[in-house]
Amino acid sequence: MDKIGSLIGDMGNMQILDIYTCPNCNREVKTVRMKMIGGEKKGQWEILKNEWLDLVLTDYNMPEMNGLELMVEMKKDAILKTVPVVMITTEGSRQRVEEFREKGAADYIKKPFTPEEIRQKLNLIMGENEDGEGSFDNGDEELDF
Amino acid sequence: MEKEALITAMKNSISEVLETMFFLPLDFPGTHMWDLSNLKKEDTLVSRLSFTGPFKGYFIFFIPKEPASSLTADFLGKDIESISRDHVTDTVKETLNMLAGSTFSNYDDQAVFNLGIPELIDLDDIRGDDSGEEVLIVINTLDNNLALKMVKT
Repeated sequence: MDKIGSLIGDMGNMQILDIYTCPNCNREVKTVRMKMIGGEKKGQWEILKNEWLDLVLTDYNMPEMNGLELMVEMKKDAILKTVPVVMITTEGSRQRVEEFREKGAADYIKKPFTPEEIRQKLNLIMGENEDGEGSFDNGDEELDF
Repeated sequence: MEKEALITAMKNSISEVLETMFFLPLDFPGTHMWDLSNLKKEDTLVSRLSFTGPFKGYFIFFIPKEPASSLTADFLGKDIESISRDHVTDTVKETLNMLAGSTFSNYDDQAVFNLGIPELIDLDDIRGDDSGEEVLIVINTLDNNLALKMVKT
């Protein structure tokens, strides 16, 4: 993976993860587009509708619409329902984590987290190429969060 | 609410969050190191987050502005000169969000607590507020005292 970018880039609008390239992915998934979604509902949907994303990382605890509600709305959309959603949460209750899974989250990440945890989750969800081998393994020097 | 269990959960949460996200060395000097009346509102950021669940109440996080700026720069991977006020307040609120969530998962991972949205408040708004049972943890780091308080209402 060439770049994850600033995970906590601009927290106000949560325009957080830059586009990064994945040189070892198969050609169809050479560029992985990923955003962390947060902030207001209108902003969330603008990102989701206007940008083609391969993965969404969303905070659970957000004003107006929480991450779970956002994911449920995505699952109602013919295109967005195919985008894997990773829930980021400070809340680690088993019941809530189970609810994330039941409603379709690809995975969840509990805050606080390390860059390595993010890398492992991405490897699990998107990091396999046609040979079934992991793709995201470039060390931490590119990570700036 | 078991107070001793909560104190342990809060201390573990503080260590997890501040050491994992900010690599801050810290210790817990005790509440005798804390005097709310000595805090100056122009020097202190105060964030509050309400919660509901098996019991309800709110958390308050106190942090002096100077370490808040350093902490924000580290968190965002930016030079301190490029940090804006919004960056700092967002980071302080996000820190409280993590402290609260982590406290509850350390306290009881079977229970479901619902966290509100953290907000920045004025120090004057909480002076004289002794509306419920409370737990105060004083945190010493980088030559500054921070504090996390939970109030059960």
